[in-house]
Amino acid sequence: MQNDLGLFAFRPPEGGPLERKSGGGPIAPHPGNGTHLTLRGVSKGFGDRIVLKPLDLTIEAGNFVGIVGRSGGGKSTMLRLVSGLTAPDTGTVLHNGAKLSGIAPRTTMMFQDARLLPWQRVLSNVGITRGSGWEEKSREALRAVGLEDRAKDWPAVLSCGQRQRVALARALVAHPHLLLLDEPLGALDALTRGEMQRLIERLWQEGGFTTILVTHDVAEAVALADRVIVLRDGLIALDRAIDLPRPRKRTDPEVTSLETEILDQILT
Amino acid sequence: MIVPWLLPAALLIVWQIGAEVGWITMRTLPPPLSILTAAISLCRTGELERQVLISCQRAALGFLVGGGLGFGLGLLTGLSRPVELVLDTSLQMLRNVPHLAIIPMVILWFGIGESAKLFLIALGVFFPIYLNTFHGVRMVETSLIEMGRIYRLGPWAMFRRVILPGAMPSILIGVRYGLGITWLTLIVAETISSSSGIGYMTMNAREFLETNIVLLGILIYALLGKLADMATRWLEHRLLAWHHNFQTEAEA
Ligand SMILES: Nc1ncnc2c1ncn2[C@@H]1O[C@H](COP(=O)(O)OP(=O)(O)OP(=O)(O)O)[C@@H](O)[C@H]1O
Ligand SMILES: [Mg+2]
Repeated sequence: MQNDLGLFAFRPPEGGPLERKSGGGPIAPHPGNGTHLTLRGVSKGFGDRIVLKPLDLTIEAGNFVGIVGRSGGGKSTMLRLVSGLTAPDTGTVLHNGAKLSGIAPRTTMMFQDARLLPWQRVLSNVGITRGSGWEEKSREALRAVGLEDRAKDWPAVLSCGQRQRVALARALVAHPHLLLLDEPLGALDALTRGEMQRLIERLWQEGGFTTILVTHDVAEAVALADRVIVLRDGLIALDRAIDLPRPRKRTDPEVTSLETEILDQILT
Repeated sequence: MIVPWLLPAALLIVWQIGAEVGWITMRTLPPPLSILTAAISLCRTGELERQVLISCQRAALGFLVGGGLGFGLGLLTGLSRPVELVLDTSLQMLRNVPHLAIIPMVILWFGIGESAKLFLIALGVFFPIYLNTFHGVRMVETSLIEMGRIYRLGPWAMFRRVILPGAMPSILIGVRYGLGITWLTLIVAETISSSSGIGYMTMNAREFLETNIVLLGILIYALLGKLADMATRWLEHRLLAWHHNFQTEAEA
């Protein structure tokens, strides 16, 4: 009963959600398909509770950034600000130097639940935006996640991990420039998790899009990210670049020492 | 399976024999065979078909008008807070008045003609469909709507692919209730006053003590109600195939 659908407030997809910043400074070069992301003094609160204190952050195009932190630390809120689902109280979010208003362009998002439409078959879920040639493109995306043979099934008959893979195919079919992942693997078992991690890494390497992964699992962040950010009390407590070669091994001493360093930051 | 039909068949036979032997008088309960002969002779003259068609038209028109308005307004209030604020409280208040209770007023407004019957049926159908559409739209999961926003679905795609199918199970419950009310209202309205239709046929027959025709009318009402119910089941089966599939898979 509580949700306000606000259907009449939706922006038409063609309507340019981007406003070029007037007299904006030089835009950082962004190679290929990634969004260059800038947060300037972005803060957010709900009622009296301040969730994110004004923070500045720049993410280079094509980077893979991991965000970790305690539950309730504002990680999801930050992703929602970046996606345009929520508007910040202060500050601005810039995609490729353009100020964001409304839903972010060329951005897709995955959540802990797959959020597939139960009344559409797998293929139609992947091609949710339709558009020309959507069936062929969706089939291709399903092939990329190894679920081509389930195109005609109802989402309800898939396993949890398969549903997340369909959601991943849906997120990638439109060739996003920014992929936001909000604990997409949180509900999966260890084995499926590992497979999905390798899948995401591979598709990211092929696609060249910018990726932000929110996760509870520090090891996951260290295994996948170029850069790990710890959010604590609404502030960035640690911002650590990781330039270890891929694929990374969990048992690698450098990986484990990084994990310890990051965990310490979360727990203090 | 034949077993479930044994008892009704036996009852029919006893009833027929009872009537022939004279235990049951024609006036209290006409024998089954006489109902059948009444049906056949009324069919021959075309009378039965004509009256049934008139009743069905009444029901269909009333249902479409009331249901259409309920559906439309339910969507509007469900989708827009401002419209809900303006309309919902008033509609909720009116809902508490049983629509059959206002028959005296309806007769004052419309007389006893066709429009009075249509108005009563439409009024009765309006509320269940309005309420269930409204609730259906409001119950659509926020997480799915958010997903639609992320994928930049336009208003129409959002409505067609996310909101309407999400609300559909609830809307169909409204349709089911609405159909039940349609028949009930039709029977009451036609029995009170009519110059055509099944109700007219039975009331007319009552004056001439043709109880077999009266009983035939009752049977036809029952049959039509059953048919309408089957139609909604079919509709549910079609529109909620995903729902169905989910259930059978879960049970298996
Ligand atoms: N729409 C909202 N209304 C009110 N409070 C909210 C809303 N969204 C988030 N919050 C609050 O903001 C804080 C941060 O929430 P957020 O979901 O960003 O945390 P998180 O870091 O993602 O946590 P988790 O790891 O458990 O998912 C929480 O205290 C939460 O209660
Ligand atoms: Mg979260």
